[in-house]
Amino acid sequence: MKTNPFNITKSNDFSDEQIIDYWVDISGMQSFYNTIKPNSPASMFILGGKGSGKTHLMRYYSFNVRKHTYKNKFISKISQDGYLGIYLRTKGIDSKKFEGKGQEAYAWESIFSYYFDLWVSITLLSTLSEIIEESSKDTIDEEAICIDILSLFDVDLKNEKESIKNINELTNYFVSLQKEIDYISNNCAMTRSIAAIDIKSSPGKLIFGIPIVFTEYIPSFKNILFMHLIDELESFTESQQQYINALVRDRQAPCSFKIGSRLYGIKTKETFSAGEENKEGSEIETVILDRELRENPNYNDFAIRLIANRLENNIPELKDLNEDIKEYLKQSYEEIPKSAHYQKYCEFIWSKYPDPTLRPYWTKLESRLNGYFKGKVDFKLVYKYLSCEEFPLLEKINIFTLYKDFNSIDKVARLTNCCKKIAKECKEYIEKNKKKDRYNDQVNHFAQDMLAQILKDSEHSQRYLGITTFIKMSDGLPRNLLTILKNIHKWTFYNEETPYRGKSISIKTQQDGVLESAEWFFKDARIAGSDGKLIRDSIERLATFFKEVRFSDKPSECSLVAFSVDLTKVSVETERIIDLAEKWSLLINIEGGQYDKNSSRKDAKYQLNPMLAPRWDLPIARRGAISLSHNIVDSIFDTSKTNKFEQLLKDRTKLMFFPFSRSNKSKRKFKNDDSVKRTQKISHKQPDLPGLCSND
Amino acid sequence: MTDYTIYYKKQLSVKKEWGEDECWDIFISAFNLSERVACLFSKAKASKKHWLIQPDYCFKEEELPQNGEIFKFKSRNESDFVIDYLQKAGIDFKNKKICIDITGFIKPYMMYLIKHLVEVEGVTNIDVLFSEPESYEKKEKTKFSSENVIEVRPIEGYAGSNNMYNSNDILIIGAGYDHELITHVALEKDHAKNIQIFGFPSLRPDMYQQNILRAVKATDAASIDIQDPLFNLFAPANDPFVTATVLSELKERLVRDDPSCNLYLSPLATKPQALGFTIFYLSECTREAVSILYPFCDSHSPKTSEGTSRIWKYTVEFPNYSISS
Repeated sequence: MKTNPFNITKSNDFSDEQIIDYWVDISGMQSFYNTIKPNSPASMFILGGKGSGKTHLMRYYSFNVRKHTYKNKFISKISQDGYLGIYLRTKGIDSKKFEGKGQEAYAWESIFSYYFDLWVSITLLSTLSEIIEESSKDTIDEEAICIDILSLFDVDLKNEKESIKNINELTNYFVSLQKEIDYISNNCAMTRSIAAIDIKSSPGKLIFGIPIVFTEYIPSFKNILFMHLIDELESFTESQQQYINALVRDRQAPCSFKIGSRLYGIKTKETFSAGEENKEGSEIETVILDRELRENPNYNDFAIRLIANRLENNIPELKDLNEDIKEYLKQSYEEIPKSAHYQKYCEFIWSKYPDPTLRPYWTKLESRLNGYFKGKVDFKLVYKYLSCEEFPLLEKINIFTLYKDFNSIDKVARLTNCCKKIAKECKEYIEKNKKKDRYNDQVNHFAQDMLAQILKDSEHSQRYLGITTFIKMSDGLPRNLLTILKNIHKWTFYNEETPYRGKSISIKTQQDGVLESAEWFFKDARIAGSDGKLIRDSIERLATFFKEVRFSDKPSECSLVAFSVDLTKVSVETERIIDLAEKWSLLINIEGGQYDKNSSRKDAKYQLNPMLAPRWDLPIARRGAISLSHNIVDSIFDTSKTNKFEQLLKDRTKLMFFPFSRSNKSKRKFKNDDSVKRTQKISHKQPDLPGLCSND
Repeated sequence: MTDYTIYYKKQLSVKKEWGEDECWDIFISAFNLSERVACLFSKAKASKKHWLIQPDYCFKEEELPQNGEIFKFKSRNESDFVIDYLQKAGIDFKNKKICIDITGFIKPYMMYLIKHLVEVEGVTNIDVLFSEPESYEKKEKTKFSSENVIEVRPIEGYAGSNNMYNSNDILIIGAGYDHELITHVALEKDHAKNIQIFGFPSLRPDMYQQNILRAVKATDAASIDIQDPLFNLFAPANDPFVTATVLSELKERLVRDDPSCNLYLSPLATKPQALGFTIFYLSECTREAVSILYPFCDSHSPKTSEGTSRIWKYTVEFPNYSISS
C-alpha cells in the first residue's frame, strides 16, 4: 500500500467535493457551525495560525461546496440554509500590482476599491448564474435583473443595457471591465499613467446592490443572507485592508462578511472614516480558530475522527472500520507499554549496559564525588544505597534527590547519611506507602525529565510516540497533526513497514517522522524580510535555555517549555519579536499569565509551540513555567542584546549544575562530568532556588 | 506552439578578439564583482558602454568600476530604476544596435529593461550576451541572494490579468539553486499546481545534480512533487530559445485543458532561462492571464562564481510592439 492517506495537508489542494469528503465537525456546543455562524449578519474575522482550518471551514460553507449536497435543488436548499456563501481568495487578485509605478497612493486606493467590487461581483454573478441555470429559468427575468444591476453604476450604460440579455453576458461584461484595469495597471509600469482607468461605480455599491436586486426578482431569496467569505486577507496591503474594514463597517443587508486571515495578517483595523476602527463586539466579532480548538474539550475526539476520516477515505480496507477507532489507532502506533516505575521504558538500558554499575549516571556521579571529596568516597557504599537496578528511573530520582540535598553535605559522613535517607525514601515509595512526601512529589514532577536524561545520557533518541502525543503536539492546528502523520507514513515506505495492516508502526519510524515534522514547522515560518531570521534565532535561544534546564543535574522546573516575564520592563524590540513569534504560532500566549511569586503582579506567560519540542528534546506537555528577568528575556529576543545571552544563561543555570555552588569561583565544569575540583567551602544553607514546579 | 529555436545563438571566444558582428552602438551591462562580467565589458566593442549599478548589490564607492559610463540609482523598484536610467541616458534606442550583457543583472531589472525597450522604445532587435562560469563558488550551497525575501510579487510590467476561477492555477518555476526562493514563490501561490523546469543540460556537468539537491529541499515545504514526470520538465540552462519553446508548448497544453486557468511563471534558474521566460511572455502573453512572479530579497551576492568558461550571444527579435490603451 503506497498511498499516503495524509499526503494532502492543505485544504487549498482539495477539490470542492473533497472539502465535503474530508469534512469533520467538532462535537458539542462549539461546533464549527456555531463558530462561523453563517446565519448571523454580524461580520466576523476568523483568525488563526497556519493549518488551523480557516480555509477548509470557509470553503465548506461556500456555495461551490454546498451545491454538491443540494442535489439540484439549489434555490430551495439555499432558502432552507438561510445563507448563500460566496468564497473569494484574495491571493487570486495579485493586489500588489495596485501600488507604486509613479502613482499616488490615493489613486491606487480608488482603483483597488473598484477592482475589488468588480471581483466580488463577478464571483457573485457567476454563482447566481449557476443557480438560475439550474432552476426554472422561465420564472426569472434575467434581462430585467441585468438592467437593474447596470443601473447601479454611476455612469449611464445605455448600450450595455440594450445589449446584455442574461447574467452570463453581464458577467462577461464585468470581466471585461476587470481585465481592462489589469492591463492598464500592469502597463502603468511603462506608461506611468492610469488615467485611462474609468471608475464607473462608487465603493461598495455593486457589492451591496447586486444582492438586493436578486432578492427582488427571486422571492425565495428574500430572507437569505449573502455571506461573503473573504479568505487570506494577509495578502492585502494596509490601505487595501482599510477598504475591507470600511465595507465591514458600512455593511448593508442582506450582506455579511466572514473574513479569514493568519494571525499576523491583520495590518490595520482602521477604516477610511477618519481612521475610525471597527469595534470588537460592535461592528465585528473575532474568532481565533486555533485557540478555540486548543481550548475545546472535544478537540481530542475531533482529531481522532479527523484521522479516521483520512484512513476511511484512502484505504478501502478500512472503509467499514467497526472496531473502536481510538483503540485501533492506538494499536497502529507502537508505544512502550506502561509498567511499574517506567521499567519497560528503560528496558533498553539492560542491553546497552549489561553491568548496571556502568550506567552513565553512575559513572558520572562517581567521577564527580571522587573529584569533589578528593577520592575519599566509598562509591560502592553510595551505589549500595542509591541503586535500584530494576528501576533506572528511581536510580535517577535518587541521584536527583542527592543533588537537591548536596549543599548540606560537606563531609563524606554526611554524604553517606544522606544516601541512607534517600534509600529509605525510595524503599517506602516502591512499597507504595502512598505517603505524600517529597520523594513522591519528585517522581510525580520530574519523572519525565529524568527519563529524558536517561535517554540522552545513553545516546538514545527522545521518544514522542503514539496518537495521543501527536494530537497534543498539534495543539489546535489540525494541519500539524496531519503533517506528523504524513511524515511518519512516508518513513514507513522507507523503512519497509506496512501500516494499518495489523502491524503497528515502529518507534523508530515515528521518531523519524516526528523529528522531520518539527523541523518543517520551524522552517515553515517564512516571515518576510529579516524578521524571519530574528524570530527563529530567538526561538533557538529560548529553546536552548529550556534544554539547558531540562538536562541539568538539578532542574529548577519540571517539564519546562514555558516562561513568564514582566513585559513592562522588556525592550521594545523584545516585545515586537515576542509578538511576531506568537503571531507565527512559534510561541503560544497562555491566557491568564502568571502571578509573580513576590508581588501581586501578573506577568505574561508564553509556551514554546509543542510542535517544536522534538527539535530540542523538550517535553510536549507544559507543567511549570520559569519566571525570567527582563534582562534574560531581552538577551533572548532583542538582537542588540544577544551578546549577553551565553553569560546570562550560565548565571541563571549555574545552581542547577554540580556542585551547585553560589560562589563566583565555582565554575560549572561538570557538564560532561569530567574530573571535579572543589574550589571553595560548600555552604550549609539550602539555596533559595525556585521550588518544585507550580502546576497551572 | 511557437518554435523559438529559429532564433540565432552563437558562441563567442573567451580569449580571442571578436569580429565585426560584435560591434554595437550601445553596450549595457550590470556591474558585479564576477570577473566574467568585467571580461565581457572589456571585450565588447561599442560606441557607448553603460554600467548599471543595481542597488541590491550594496556596492561601496571604491568598488565601482572605473571604465564606461556609470548609471547608479537608489530605487530598488525595477521599473523606476530602468526608467531613470533611460531618461538619464537620453538615447533614441529604437535606431541603435543594442547589446545587453545579462550576466550581472538581477533578473527583474533585466526583464523589465527588455520589456521597456521593446514596448515603449520600439526596439525590435537586441543582442544579448551571457557568460557561463567555470564553477559556482560553493557548488550547490552557493547563495545568490540573502534569502530574506521581502515580498513575492509580479515583476513590473509582467502582471497579467486574473481569471477569477483559480482552482486550476499553475505555477511554472524555473528551478534554480536558491531553494528558499522556490519555496517562497510556491507558498505565495499555494493553491496552484507546481511545474518545475530544470536546467538540463546544465551549464557545467555537476550543476544539474547540485540543482536537484537544492530543489528537493523545496519540495516538502511547498508541496511540490519532484517525482512526478508530468510536473518536472527540462530546458537547457544556457538556451533561452529552447526555454521559450518549452514554455510555449506547456502553455498551449495547459490552456487547452482549462482555458480559465491562471498561469504564474517564476524564473529562478539561470539568466538565459530568465531571458527565455521574457521572450515567451513578450511574444505570447500580453493581455492574458499569465504573470511572472519573483521573490524580491533585501540583497544579492555580488560575486558567486569563478572564471569564464563560455560566452554566448543570443540575437532576439521582436515584432513592432506598442502599448495600446
